[in-house]
Amino acid sequence: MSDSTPTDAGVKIDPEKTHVILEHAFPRPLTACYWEPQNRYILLGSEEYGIYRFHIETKEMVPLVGPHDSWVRAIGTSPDGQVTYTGGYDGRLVWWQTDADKPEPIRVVDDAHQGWLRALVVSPDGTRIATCGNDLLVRLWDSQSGELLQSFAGHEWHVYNVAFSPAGDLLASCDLRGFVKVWNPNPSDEAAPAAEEPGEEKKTPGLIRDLSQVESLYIYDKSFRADIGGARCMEFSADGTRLALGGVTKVTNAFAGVGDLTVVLVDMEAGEVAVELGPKEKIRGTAWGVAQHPDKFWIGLAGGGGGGWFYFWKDDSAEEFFKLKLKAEGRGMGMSPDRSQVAVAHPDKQLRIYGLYAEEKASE
Amino acid sequence: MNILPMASPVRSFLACAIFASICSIAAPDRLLADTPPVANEPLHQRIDAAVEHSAIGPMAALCTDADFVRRIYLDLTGVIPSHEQVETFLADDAPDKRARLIDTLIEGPEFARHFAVQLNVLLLDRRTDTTVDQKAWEAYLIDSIARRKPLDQIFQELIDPSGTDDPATPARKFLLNRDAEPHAMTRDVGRMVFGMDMQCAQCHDHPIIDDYYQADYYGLFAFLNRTTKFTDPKSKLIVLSEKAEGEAPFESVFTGEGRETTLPRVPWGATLYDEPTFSAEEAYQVKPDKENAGKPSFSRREALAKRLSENEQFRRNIANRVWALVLGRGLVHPTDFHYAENPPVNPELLALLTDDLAQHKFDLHYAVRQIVLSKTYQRSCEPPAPETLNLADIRSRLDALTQRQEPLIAAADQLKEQVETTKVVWQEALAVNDEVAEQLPPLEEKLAQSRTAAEKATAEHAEAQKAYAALTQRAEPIQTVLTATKAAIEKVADEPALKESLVLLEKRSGELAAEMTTAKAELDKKMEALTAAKKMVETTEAEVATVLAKRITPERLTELELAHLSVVSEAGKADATARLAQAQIELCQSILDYPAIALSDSEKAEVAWEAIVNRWTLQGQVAPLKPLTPEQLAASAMQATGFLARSQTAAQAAVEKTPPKALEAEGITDEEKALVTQIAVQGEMLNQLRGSVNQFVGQFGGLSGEEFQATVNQALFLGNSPTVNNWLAAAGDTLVGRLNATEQPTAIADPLCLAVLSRPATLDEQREIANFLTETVGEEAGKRPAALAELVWAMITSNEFRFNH
Amino acid sequence: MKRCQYACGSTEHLASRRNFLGGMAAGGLAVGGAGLGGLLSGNPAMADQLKGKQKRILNIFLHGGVSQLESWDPKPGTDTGGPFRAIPTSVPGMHICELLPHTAKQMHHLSIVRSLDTKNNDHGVGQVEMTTGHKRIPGTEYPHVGAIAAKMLTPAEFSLPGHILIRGAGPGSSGAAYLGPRYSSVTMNDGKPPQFTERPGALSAEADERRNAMRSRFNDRFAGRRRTADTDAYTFSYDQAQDLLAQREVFDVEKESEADLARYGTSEFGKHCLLARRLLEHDVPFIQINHSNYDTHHENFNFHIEQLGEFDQPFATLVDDLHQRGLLQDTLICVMSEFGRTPRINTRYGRDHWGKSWSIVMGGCGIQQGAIIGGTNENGTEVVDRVVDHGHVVHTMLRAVGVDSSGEFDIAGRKYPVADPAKGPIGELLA
Repeated sequence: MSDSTPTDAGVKIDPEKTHVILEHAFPRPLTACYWEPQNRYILLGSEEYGIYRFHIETKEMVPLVGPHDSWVRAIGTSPDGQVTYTGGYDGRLVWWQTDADKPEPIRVVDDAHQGWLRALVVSPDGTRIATCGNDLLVRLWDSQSGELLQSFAGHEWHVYNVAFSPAGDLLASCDLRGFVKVWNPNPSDEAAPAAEEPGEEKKTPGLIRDLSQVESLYIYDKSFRADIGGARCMEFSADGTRLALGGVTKVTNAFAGVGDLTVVLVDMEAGEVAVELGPKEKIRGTAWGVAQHPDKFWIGLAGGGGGGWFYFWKDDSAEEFFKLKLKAEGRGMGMSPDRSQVAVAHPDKQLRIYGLYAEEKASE
Repeated sequence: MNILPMASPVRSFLACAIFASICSIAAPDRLLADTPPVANEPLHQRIDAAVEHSAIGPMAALCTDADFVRRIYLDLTGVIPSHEQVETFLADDAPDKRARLIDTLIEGPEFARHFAVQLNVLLLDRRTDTTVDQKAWEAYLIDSIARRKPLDQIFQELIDPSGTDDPATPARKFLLNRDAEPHAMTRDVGRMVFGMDMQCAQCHDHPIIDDYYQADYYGLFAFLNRTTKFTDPKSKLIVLSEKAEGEAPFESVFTGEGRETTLPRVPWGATLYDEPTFSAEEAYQVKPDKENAGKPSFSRREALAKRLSENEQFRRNIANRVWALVLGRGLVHPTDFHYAENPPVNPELLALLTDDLAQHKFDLHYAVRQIVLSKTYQRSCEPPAPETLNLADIRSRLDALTQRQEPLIAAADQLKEQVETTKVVWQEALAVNDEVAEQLPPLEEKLAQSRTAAEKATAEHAEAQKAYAALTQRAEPIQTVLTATKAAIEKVADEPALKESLVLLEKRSGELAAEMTTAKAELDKKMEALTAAKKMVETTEAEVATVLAKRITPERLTELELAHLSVVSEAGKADATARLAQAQIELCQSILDYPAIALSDSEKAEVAWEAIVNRWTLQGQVAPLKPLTPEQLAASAMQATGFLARSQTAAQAAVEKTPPKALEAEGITDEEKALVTQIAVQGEMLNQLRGSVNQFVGQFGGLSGEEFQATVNQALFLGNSPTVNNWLAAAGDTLVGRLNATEQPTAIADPLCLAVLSRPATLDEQREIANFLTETVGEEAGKRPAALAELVWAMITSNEFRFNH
Repeated sequence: MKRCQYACGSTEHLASRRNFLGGMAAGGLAVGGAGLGGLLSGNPAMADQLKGKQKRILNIFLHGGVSQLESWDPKPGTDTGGPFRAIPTSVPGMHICELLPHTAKQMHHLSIVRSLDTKNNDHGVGQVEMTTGHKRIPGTEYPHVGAIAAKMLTPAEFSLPGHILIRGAGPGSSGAAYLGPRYSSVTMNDGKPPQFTERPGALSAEADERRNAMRSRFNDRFAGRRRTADTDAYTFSYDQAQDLLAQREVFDVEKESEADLARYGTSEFGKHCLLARRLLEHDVPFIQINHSNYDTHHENFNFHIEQLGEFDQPFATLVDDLHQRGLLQDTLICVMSEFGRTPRINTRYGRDHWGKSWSIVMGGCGIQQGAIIGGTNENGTEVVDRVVDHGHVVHTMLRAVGVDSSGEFDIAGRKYPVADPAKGPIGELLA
């Protein structure tokens, strides 16, 4: 395995040659993964009350702990990577100075959400942070002041994920039942933030439109009498015409996780599902990560009963052109700034970095 | 000995009330007997004699023809007679018509179905399982009964299905229904085959029942604990597999006195002392592995099956079960609890049945026929009125009984002592063998050692002998030359050569002589050693022989055990007789007390009287009211409302449509064809009824030996369920339909009563029913079917219909 | 209530005849108190209990196996603890999982047993063993605790079912085994009234009365020939059925006030809790509510948010209402499952079957308040104090409502222990 991670973007991308280039063990099973834009760190959530800062070059592993008293699965940073934002299942939203020797929280918002804060995304220009959670709200924060700019109410089910359009003019959110809403992330005057009593929000006029429900992302399991669904990962295509929502579909047994991985591409113009990317052969799993590669293919990360997999789909072709079995289930994914590598958080306590290119014989 | 641990008369009265179910009043001796049973009379007469003989107070009259026809159809076919069948029987005025009807029904096709249903409930406790198809199992039972397979053979097949040579025989279901789990099998074989529920003796001697020992439980367990459930990987057939090893060790959770092991032993029967032993190679006919179910060269389960017929307790249990199947209650009751504190209601009668059934090869048809032919079976359920009591007679019975009480107790106690002595003898024999088993190994070791020692001695002795012989040979020639030389010197005195050689020769021969003495000494030593070693072998052999001589043969052990068991059963009988005499005394007393109570307190009197009548019922002086089983109730309601005929037609049609495979057999006789078809139709009939029957089972339960329960849900079910209400519909061939076709209100009662209650209507019933119709229907003829449905329902839900009387 | 019209129809007399209804009718003479049906005399607790206020049991069965770590025995911050926090309750020092905020406010009425080790990870076995208190033996059936309660606690004159199962899912009935069909569960599927409690369309109440009157006349006539405890019991069951039909509204939760319907919420479990309250107010001796499902091998945390979210408020409301209405002191509440869930979190965020160290909750009648019995180690993988199992639980339930669980049933002459003789109640849990 190569120790030096080739950052030279000139490397020839070849998904079918994808291979592990780094493996690093952590104290507990990992749950989330974020590749810091300046390519210094990979930030990782685990089954602990905080996150880890993993220094890609030195392999140094530093915990960011303190304010959180639950798992943290929502991670982001400012575009320059200087400030790290974490959102936890304790509903807290925390600002950190990323590269301090012993990172301390800069700011803590205790009740960013009632119950779980499920996801966090930073606006392309870095000025705003969007979060969502089990209180059915989507919230917009000023990344500088920490001020709550907007509270978008309207979802009737737990909100699973949020994503900014590349232009930063749209904020999409998806809930448990696959209802997708598009909000206006630009603060308007009549916005009435009310962080103090979040319970009493009026429906803010931030809603731009409802996309049609992505039915394949949700099912009510009659035998176990429970709901399963939601976007476990969410990302816009580079050109902003498509919204990718990853999760599990065709669930026949929610409690055993019997269902297929799916990545649904919604056409933003039509507001309809354009295509559903799925596995050729049935392998139990959920999509826990999705990213579009500049070379015009989508990468999906699967975790679940069928083990861990990378799926690679050419745009608009419903079945993968290549899939790769991983050593363990995938739970979270981040892509290197140069798009040549993918980092995955695994439940076997391992961080694994995969190169999307042929192994260099030299480094053998 | 304490017969019933009761102090005050009040308590003892209650006591017999409590034990009413288990006490009876058998005459202790023949003095009071009307006529003792005579062996050459038919069984049914001897049954009656035994019952009359223990009776106290009046007997109920024989039941009416109407009661009889309903009762006999329910008991032999599982359903009330159709109104035609009732009418035919009532119209017949031949004196032997009851006997003829009995024979017709016993030979009839429904007999096998009805008793198959009862056996199914008895054997499976209404538990379902998927190991063997329920229909196939029912077919097996129907077939077995229809072909008059002896009951002991049926039980043998249930315990050892491989005995049938059909690996797929549905008989497997009995044990597989228990997952072939050793304890589950032990418990239910104990219950159903021997009438002994020893479950509580699994972990310790039975806390409540003195007669059930942990060793009894594990004796039976030892026959079964090598058996497991096995699924054939290819055919997926689930069968029984048996290992050739595995003992039955147990330890009391109470006493904690170390582990014991028991050989297989039939409860209250002989121990398997002579179990053949095999070398590891010969242990199996089929060795158990992933592909094959195991079949040991000696199957303990098979051994159990083979021992049934000769086992006294099995015979008693069979007799008691058959009686319970017909009379609704065992002579020993509960039927799963044969033990001293729970003696038969009439020991004489049970003994009689036990022996006679065994003599008649456990033939169910014979047994049932004899029982239903008896007056005892045919008595009315109406108890004699208090006025009919002959108190003087009761009083004299009481005196006689009281006089005999002491001697009876004494007799019982004496036998109890004998039980102890015979037990000691048997146990001592066992102890001897234990001792032998202890002493033998060291002695055999010693023998082996002395034998090797002797061989060694022999070898050494031979060695010494050889050495000595060699020296002798060497010395001889020298001696000869020496003598010759001496002689020569005498002749030629001055020859120096001779003198020199003489010196040499004398020296040498002297040396040799010395060597020979040592060799001789060595030889003698070895000789002694040899003799000693030989002696040692002889003495040790003698010792072994003496110990072996002490050992008692399996035959002898069995002899002693059986001797003990027979005394035990004698003692049991005597004890039962004594207990019953006591109970009988108490019945006399309660009868004599009754008139006074009747004068003072009407409510107490009614309770007292019901107690007396209950006891008469138990003893067969009055016929019992037997609640219909769920199967009988469902089928009878359908019979009454005219719906059973539909199922019968459907069953016929189904079998005609897909005839049984067996009919295609080579050279099958017409007779056999008829039988096979008939069996198939009865099996199909169960299918036709299954839906309705299951609903009734759901509401009415119906485990064998279950106590009677009337529940709100049953009433709601019969009142409001679609099933029952459909039976009240007014179609052409239904009861309501037929009645609706009859104009005359007064003409309704008879067909209604004949169909539902299997008897003509009484005059006031005719009036009542006519009034009901006119009042309810009034001028609106449209209301008539509904009103008739109300009438039919009211009758079907009446006590007269619910109970077999 | 109509009686059969034959001789000695006086009520005292009927009361005494009622003694026969208990089931010792078969053959023997009745002894012992009314309603004691088939119970060995010499169990004072049993003889007395009917004199006191009617006692009841409410058993809430969380099907599939609720996670003790997400409910009664949270281990926040440990490798097994999962993401949820522990919250304080109305009992100082007692913490439960944050998924139960409303229940937390009621814990002073309840106690937690945190030391179950039932040595079983099979759903079927767990269901049988937890509700019968006996180890399952193939081919042997034991009565559900509801059947035992119905037999022991139902007064002779009581017309409503003594043992009701309210279910949306889970097994369709709870068996009575040797206690007989009288005591097996009457099921209210999806909270709907029990089977056959509605007269067939064509049949008017008047017609039903008419045909029952006719039935009584037939019975009176037959009683002239032979009358036994059994015939009386059978006759009486129809009177009871008519009583029950008259009270049919007891089964209709919609008869509760708008306000209450709102307080219990629209969820199925909410409705079932309100229905249970209604039935308890009518003195039904045993009610079980099945709440389904907790078998979360996958995404345990999402599913516990949903299921316990459904459970929390209605349950808390019910406990509070029973207390407010003075019913709690005569009503035993138990919340159980077939087993708990593995402390280890599997790779699918699931927890699997775990009988080795888990918890149940009891409260109300005969149970001390706000207690914590037993405990587990730091990350919940082992019981470190006061191991108990299903046997102790059923003993405790019965003892709490005044049943001598060490006694025996005598069913048609056969004796059965009321509860596993090798076990006993959890003494320190009893008030």
